[in-house]
Amino acid sequence: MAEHFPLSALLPAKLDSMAEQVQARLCEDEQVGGMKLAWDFIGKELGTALKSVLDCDLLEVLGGAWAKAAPLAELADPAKQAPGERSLVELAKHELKRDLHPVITVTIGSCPCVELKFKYALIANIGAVRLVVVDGHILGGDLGELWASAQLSYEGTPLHPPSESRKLALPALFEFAPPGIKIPVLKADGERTG
Amino acid sequence: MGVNLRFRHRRARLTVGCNQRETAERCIFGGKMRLSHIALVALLLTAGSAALPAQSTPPADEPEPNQRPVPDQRPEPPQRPKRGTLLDVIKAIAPPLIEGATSRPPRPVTEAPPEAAPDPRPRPRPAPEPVLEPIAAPVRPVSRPPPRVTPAPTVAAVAPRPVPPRPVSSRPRPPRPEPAPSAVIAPPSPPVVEMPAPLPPAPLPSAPSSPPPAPTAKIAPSLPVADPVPPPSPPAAIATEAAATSGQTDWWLLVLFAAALAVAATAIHKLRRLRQIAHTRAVLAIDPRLDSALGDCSTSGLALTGPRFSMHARLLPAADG
Repeated sequence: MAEHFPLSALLPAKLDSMAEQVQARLCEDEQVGGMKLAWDFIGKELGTALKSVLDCDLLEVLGGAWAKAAPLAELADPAKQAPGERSLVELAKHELKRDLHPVITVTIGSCPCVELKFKYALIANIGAVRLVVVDGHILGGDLGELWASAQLSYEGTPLHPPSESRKLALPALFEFAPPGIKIPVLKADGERTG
Repeated sequence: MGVNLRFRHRRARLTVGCNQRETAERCIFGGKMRLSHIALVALLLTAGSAALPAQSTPPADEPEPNQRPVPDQRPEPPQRPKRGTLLDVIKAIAPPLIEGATSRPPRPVTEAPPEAAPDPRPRPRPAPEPVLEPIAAPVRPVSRPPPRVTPAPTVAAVAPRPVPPRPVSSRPRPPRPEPAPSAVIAPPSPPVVEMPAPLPPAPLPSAPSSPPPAPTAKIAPSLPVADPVPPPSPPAAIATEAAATSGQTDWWLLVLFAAALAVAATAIHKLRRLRQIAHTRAVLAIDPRLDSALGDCSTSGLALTGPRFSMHARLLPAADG
């Protein structure tokens, strides 16, 4: 099992501007605006909640994107791959973008809840990767080089400059938890299932 | 001699400084004095500081001017009545003002204000004569630092200072006139010289020279004390020191009070902050989730680098026979 590299690890340690924007959004409700709340405390709590949502493993997110790639689709077809057959697939250098949408529902007292929608944009540059596929599942792989960065924004407003994204040192070999990441089956009309 | 005078002069100044500080502290902290009193005291102190030099000089002159210079300097400082001088000056300058507060003794003091006592002025001179003797005695005993005493010329420089005292305007004569030591020296030391004198005349019922000593009666106690041993701490001195000490204590208390205020403010701020956080935590509910339905994914340049490599491993059943 590979080490855990959460997506939140790509974010800066402090998201100061988030508290201000969230405060402005929440204070649209007069009742909330009239309350003397510790907004810095709310900001910290939101940051913690956000990081808990983005606690996903980076390689699993990348594996999900690889699983949807066309070159791997036929490996999900039982007709083209015998049960128990172990296949090795090598992917050349490529770039992968993935957007995630964390949503935090905030309720203050008896006021109606407010949904705060964030956008987490992940960009990964992969030099090369070799994937192991068995029975339509990606079990793990072997990474060449990888650079990843992330940008968190709230309602279209970036909460931090992209340059603050951290760099992760990912291992060369990685494994996904059994049974691995399922490769969706491509139907006749082109839709994916599974 | 000149050095001696200087030294005394400095001491006199020091005394004045202490008294001024004391007054200021009283004004600031004690609040016991009114504005008019403060102004009056300030005026007196200013005038007194100017007149002090004249008072301090005399004693050293009378006794033997030649021998004294060296021995006098060091020994005397400790014995000298420092506090009494200012009082004398104040009395001399504004006797009527102080009378009521201090004591009744007739203010006809030697240096009484110009208008108040025009007659007694001539007397002050006779008084110094008897006084000279007692002063000389205490001064002699001390005689360690002979090397320092040298400034014979300084006498000339010091001499001019005593001149400022207005009452003795007629004395401008330089201290040179040694032939008549007592008579000549008397002028510069009207107030101080009289201090010691009071003792001898005191026992006497009422001699002609009694007036000058009488006013100094209060200060006299301190003088006699200086002669015998060193218990020179009249009530005035103790009060001055106590006031100075209390002033420092007040400042420390002020600083401590400010520090305590700062600590208290910080504690209150923290307490409020904790309360605010507790209140916020009580009303705040957060429910985070990841909206997977909105996730977009795009890849560019994704392609296989070569043919897929597959393998299937299995154990063959062992062949029987």
